[in-house]
Amino acid sequence: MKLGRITGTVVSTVKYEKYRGMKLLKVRQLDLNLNEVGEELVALDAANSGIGDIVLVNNDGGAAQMVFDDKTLIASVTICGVIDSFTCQGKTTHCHG
Amino acid sequence: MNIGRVVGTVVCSVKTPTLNGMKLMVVRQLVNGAEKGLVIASDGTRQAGIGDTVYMIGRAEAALMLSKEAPPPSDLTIAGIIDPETL
Repeated sequence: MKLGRITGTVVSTVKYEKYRGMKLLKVRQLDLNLNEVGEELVALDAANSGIGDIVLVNNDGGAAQMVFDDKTLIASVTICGVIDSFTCQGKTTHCHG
Repeated sequence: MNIGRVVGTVVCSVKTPTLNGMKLMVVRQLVNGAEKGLVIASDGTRQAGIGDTVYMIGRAEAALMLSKEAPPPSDLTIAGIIDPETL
């Protein structure tokens, strides 16, 4: 699991048939100081998140299968939650405005 | 899923039988909008062409998109094409 920030949406007409009706978003990985690190990825949204949200990103293929209860769904990056706040080394960070 | 742009195709006569009929594309990786290295990906959509911006899954089980009965050995599979007007 990693922290990430939603940076955009992905509109895709031609796609893997199982993605029909699902939301694909661009997400940028964050460190615990909310600095952007790593590569911008396309993720399958399971948490109804939107642009600017700090989210919980799962980088495992099995996550989407569990969340959507479909053993044949293939996705390597899944957004599993929108983070309200987190505490690290005694410092609490609130993620909403 | 990583983002890239299709820049070419791979033609390969001698290959493992499960790869028969599969499209192999040369993809320029796009990391945060900047062009990076070239990779070879199989085309799970079967509709990607040169110039298309695509997203790819770097997992072996993504080969199930290509064929459920006999998944080919593919470590990078194109899962969809990003509509150009929305980039």
